[in-house]
Amino acid sequence: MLTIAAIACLFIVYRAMSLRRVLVDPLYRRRALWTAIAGSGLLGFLISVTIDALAASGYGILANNSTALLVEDFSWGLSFLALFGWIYTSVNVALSSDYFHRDVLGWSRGGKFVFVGAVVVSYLVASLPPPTNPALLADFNAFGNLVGPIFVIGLAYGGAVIVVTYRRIKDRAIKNYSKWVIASVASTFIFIALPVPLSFVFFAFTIFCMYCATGALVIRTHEIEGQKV
Amino acid sequence: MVSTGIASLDQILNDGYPDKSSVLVLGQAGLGKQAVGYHFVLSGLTQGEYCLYVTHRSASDVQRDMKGFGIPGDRVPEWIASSGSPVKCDLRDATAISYNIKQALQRNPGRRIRVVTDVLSPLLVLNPSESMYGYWTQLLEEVKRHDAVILATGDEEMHTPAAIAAMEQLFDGVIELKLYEEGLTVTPLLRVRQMLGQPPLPGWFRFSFVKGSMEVVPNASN
Repeated sequence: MLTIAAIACLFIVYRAMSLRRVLVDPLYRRRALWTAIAGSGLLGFLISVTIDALAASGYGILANNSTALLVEDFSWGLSFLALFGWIYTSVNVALSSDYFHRDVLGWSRGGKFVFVGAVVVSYLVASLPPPTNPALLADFNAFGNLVGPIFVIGLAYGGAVIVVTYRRIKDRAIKNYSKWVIASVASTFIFIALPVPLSFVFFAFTIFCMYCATGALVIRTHEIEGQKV
Repeated sequence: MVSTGIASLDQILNDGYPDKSSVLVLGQAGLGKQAVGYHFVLSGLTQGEYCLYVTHRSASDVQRDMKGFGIPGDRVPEWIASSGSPVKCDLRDATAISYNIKQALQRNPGRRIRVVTDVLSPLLVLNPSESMYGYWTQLLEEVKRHDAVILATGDEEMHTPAAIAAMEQLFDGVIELKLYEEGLTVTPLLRVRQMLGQPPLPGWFRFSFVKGSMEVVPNASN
């Protein structure tokens, strides 16, 4: 299952990059690039989860291996930043597609800084090493528990801005793309909330949504006037 | 003839767009319709012609994109944009957009004029199509009364085939951009569907942008 998911993630990256190559408009090129980065993020998450699971079960060289832990941390960090970066650029693309350039839920007036702030704070807090003094451990854990809500609030806010903007988008390609971004965000929410193995179903659905978002990057034609070109 | 600003496209069109003509560049979003407009503007500015850019985006946004296509920041057309220009482009007021374009033309008598606009699709989406056909017929006629060439870009996916067919009738030239996919290979294609004073050009051309400059070459299967 993990291998299939990893292949799907790699395919997302490949598709997004090959479409980016032929796109001309910088806005669309950036969107394709961030979709590829988000695909690598999902791959990073898979690597992180796999290493974690193998290390926890004391599998071979991975148990208590500092390099493996470093790779796991790096992969986790990449997936976290990639997902938020993808949502951030998708919100900007959705907003720029509104002909009247209306601000949604205060995103342009400072909301985007709150979003970036939520990402940076939760990432930094989650990356802090545990204190060596056992007396501080309880406080540290309580502080660490703040990460979840900050992460979820940030994700929900970005998702809400896209949902509101969605109705105002006239561009069919961006509308379709935004639909799949919204589905990805919703699926990510559920997969965070659910316990294993149910969460894996929604993780797979997140990959599927991202795959569909990649396909929606630009409208392509397979036949021109009933003929292959 | 008026150069398109793209040497290989000039070659295909026998030296460029016809004088006093209207050209529609049609295609899916992101494929480079605006870039065709940028090259057209750059060519005009290089030759000291009067260039007007009418956009529903902000002037700074378009200028940033233009820089990506090698258009220096000191060479700018006159703007009618949603922000960052003395004359605003408000999509809620189509009459004002048309009025401002006509005013700009009248301020430049005797000069060769190039007008590039991306407001065709938004106006067509936001207004009843019947009124828009009349609107564009009148505007294009007015532009062609001057020594001007107008290039409009249209987002194909936003309109019904009937609306697109009706719009095409209004323009002297139609250039179509498409992204063709076969298996995992995607190829950007260009076709000159019609051009005033020229027989229809059969077949599709491949196009690409290398370091901001556009290249159009015959498709191998033509």
